[in-house]
Amino acid sequence: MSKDTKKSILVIEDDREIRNALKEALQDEGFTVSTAENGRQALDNLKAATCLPCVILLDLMMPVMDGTTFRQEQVADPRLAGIPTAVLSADGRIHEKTANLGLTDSLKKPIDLDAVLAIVARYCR
Amino acid sequence: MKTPSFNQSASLAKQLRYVVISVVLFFLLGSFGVYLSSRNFLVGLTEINGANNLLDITTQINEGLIATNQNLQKLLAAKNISDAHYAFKASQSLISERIRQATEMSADDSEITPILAEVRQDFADYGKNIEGVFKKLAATGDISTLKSDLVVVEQLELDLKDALRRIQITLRTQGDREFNNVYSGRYMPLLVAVVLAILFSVIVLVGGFYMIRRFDKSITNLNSATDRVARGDLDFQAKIMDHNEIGRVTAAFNKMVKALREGREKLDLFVSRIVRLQGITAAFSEAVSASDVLEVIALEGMEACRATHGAVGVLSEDGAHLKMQKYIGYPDEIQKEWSEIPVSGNYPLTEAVRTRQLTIVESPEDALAKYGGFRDGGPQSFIAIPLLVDGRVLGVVGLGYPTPKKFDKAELDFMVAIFRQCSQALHRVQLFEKAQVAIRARDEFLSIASHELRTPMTPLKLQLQIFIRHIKKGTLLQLTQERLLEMAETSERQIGRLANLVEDLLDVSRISAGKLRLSREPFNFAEMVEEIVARYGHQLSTAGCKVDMKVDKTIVANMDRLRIEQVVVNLVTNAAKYASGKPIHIDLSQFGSTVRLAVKDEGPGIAYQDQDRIFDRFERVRSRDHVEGLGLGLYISKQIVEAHGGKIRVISKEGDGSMFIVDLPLGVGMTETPGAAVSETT
Repeated sequence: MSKDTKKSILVIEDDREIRNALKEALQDEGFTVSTAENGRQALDNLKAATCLPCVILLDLMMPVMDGTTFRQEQVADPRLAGIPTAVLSADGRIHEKTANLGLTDSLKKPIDLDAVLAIVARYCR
Repeated sequence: MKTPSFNQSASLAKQLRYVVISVVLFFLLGSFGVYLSSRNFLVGLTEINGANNLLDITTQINEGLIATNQNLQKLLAAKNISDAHYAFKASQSLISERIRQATEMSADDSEITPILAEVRQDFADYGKNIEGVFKKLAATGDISTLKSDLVVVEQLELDLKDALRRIQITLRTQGDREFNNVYSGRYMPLLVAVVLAILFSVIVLVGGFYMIRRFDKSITNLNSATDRVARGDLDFQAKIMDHNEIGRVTAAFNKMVKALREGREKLDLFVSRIVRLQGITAAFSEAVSASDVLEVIALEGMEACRATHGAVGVLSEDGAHLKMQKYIGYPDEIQKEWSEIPVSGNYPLTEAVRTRQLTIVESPEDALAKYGGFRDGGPQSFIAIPLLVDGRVLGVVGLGYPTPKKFDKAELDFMVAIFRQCSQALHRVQLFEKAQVAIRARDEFLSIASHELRTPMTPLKLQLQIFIRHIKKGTLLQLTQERLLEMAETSERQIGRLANLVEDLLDVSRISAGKLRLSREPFNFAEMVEEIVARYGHQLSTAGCKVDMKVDKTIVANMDRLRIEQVVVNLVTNAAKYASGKPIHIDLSQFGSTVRLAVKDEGPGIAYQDQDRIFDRFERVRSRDHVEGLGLGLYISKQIVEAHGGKIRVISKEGDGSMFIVDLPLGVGMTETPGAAVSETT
């Protein structure tokens, strides 16, 4: 795999402003960022992609397909199951809700940029 | 209770009286019998005596004849003819007298009468012949010439004597016969007396025995009845064997037992009611939802009141309908047909709700007269009991019975007591459910509010952190002008979003506290609408919504301009949010003193069942993830419109767009409206 592939990050987030802010911040750090507005879109993109991201930043509450469903679909697909996934949520009970999703990390909104970068750094070296 | 009177017709005493009367009658009858049998005896004796007398007379006649003949012979021999004639005359009259006596005495004796007739004839012939002899003698004076005449006389005399002898023989025969009769019947009176005595004794003995036996049986019967009752069998009623004193005592005893039984039944009923009440209390303690409580009310209430049909319903929020929750004992389809009953309807249940009184239907006739009859296969009597708390109707319970029924006061009191408890339980659980709903709504609201507040905060924070990071790395100046502006504008937008959210929350808080104050001012409604459309032009065009406006530009409204703007903004941005890419039609018109604003989109529409709900707090039709926002917009709009005395409603069909219609009174002449009396239940 190429070095670029390792540094690709997928952001799944319905709020345009959050999506854009994250994209800009990560691009500033030198990562390639792809985005999706909901779980469905992300899943379709992933299935079509030849290069998989090194980490997925996943919002939970989204229209069409929410984060939980996306995660279940992702785990069900052996090619995608191994991608580390960190959840971003404004929900106060984020840990309860994601406990059995096998997620690597969870970040509570408003998220801290340093925390996001630390997670990304862990999986994308 | 009536005590049996012993004076009315004391039957034992009566029976005794009958016995005495029977004895007297029997004695009189016996005496008469003895008299009759003795009378024959006496008659026989009298007849024998009569025969003897007659016999004497015939003897005297015979002796008279003999004496007459001797006298005649003697005087004729002495030729003393005149004396002889005289003596003969005297004898003849004497004998005639005797014959007359005999005839008189034997007038009804058929055996004697013909012989006596013969005697009379012979004696008359005898007299005539002797008179003839005396005439010839007087003419001739010679006895010897009379020899042939005297032979005839002698022959007549012999005939007479023969006849007399025959009479005597007949009489003797009659006397013997009579004697034999009398003699053979000499024991008859005794026999009659003895037989009667035996008969009487037998009757008295049998009657007495029977009476004693009956008496004994009655007493035994009563005795065994008292034993049974003493053992506690109060259902037992002693058999009334006779309508006498014992019978009356038995009847009185039965009455007493019945009274005892009724007393015990009342006591049992009382105890069972207390047990029922306790059971209901226990059942209520386990019922946590209103439907649980209503089920308990229907089932336990029916059981306690021994009803076969039960129905329970709660009054709708607006008080216009009874929402029937449970039917028991009715056919299944009733739940579907009668799930909602308008309170204005003429039914026992609704009457109980309207009057807040027990409503009783005692019979099908009663039902026919008052409510047009019972339904087929339904109960034959019915009682509707309102469920009241502090005079407020929560619902109603109906109980039906399979037969016509009158409800006594104790029963009604019991029902009132039971259903008062039911009402309290229902009230508590309704409060509890309302509180739970409120808590759930609040939790949900907090969760949404938290989510909604955190969402704009996230890009704001990220932008600031990016900014800080560039400063720290010393790369800030390498950022382009556009990038910096974009960062600042993004941050400003987030602050705007936050401000709007806070404003909405404050509005809800004001409305909840009833502090939504209106400051009215006259303004041109059409201009206001056009201004908003212009203000949100960017957002609308981003959403791809073309606005088609038909406005009456002359309308001047006297309303709280900022609040009305809020409503219009909410409707227009909702349309842009939910029906992006489709045109929005805005229609403004005036009829009378009312302004009508219609905002129509061509979006997905709202299902009928959701159309009321969307005006509630924190409600959004679709999944909350679909569209950002607190879901307070329509709620706030509705409160604002209602505070102005107007109405907001939606006309929509799924898949066919929605049209929100706001009707507002122009408010001419009004200055300030105090906060609308918004009823808050939380």
